[in-house]
Amino acid sequence: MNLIAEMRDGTLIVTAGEDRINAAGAVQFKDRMRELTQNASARVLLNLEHVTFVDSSGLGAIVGSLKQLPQNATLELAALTPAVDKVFRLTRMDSVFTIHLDIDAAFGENRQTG
Amino acid sequence: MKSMTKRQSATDNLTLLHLHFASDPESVGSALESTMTVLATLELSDDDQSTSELILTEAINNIVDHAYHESLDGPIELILVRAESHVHCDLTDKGYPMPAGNIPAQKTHDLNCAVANLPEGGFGWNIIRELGKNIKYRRLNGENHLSFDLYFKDLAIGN
Repeated sequence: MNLIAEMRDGTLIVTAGEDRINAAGAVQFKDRMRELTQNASARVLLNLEHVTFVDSSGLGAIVGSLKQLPQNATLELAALTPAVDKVFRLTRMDSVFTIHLDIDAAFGENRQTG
Repeated sequence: MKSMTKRQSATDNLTLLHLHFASDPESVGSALESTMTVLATLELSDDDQSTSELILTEAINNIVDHAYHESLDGPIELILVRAESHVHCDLTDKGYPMPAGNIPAQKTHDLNCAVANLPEGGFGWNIIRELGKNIKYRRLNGENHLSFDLYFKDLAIGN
């Protein structure tokens, strides 16, 4: 599971390099997220711009990534492609996460909450 | 393609796909890939194409996880038939029956809960219910039969 982390203005940005987060990769995704975020103490921003497909297993792994964060850290999402956005809406998980149109919006005023 | 042929394909029930595959991840992945290639020939919108991929993925993953308990050699049959206004999907497997003999009752998760209590699963059937119409389940001769219809924005026009 290709996930790359970088710090920007106190936010840990994790960019998913895979085009799919599904049953085949969900466990790996969650494990890799745990490694990358185990010392996080503020906002973690998951950049999903390259991800074109998430199924219910992938969605569960993203929720799991939120649940396994250290106590003071939060998980927000950015750049959902249309099919991924749809899964979040169908399952009402868009109400659980703060979702930003893109990475820049996550650092500006154009905050879009689900 | 001549206009006559197009007219026929829009009005007759046409089998688009009839696949037999095993419940291992590789076979399931390649079956879904073939299925999406076939559906792409209907020139669906991106939205309809991804809807189809999502519901079929969820339905097949349910078979793999619950009917076959992740054993790798369970036979799965998928038939897609194009009707005038929709695509009819039929999935058959020889695994364990649905608990209580029917598809699981609709669950509404309370998402206004502590983060620690958020659900990490159980989304699959809600997704299937949202995206599919005329969802039917039958247990017959040791087989599970699940069928549903997919309605698309442009299909009824007969492209």
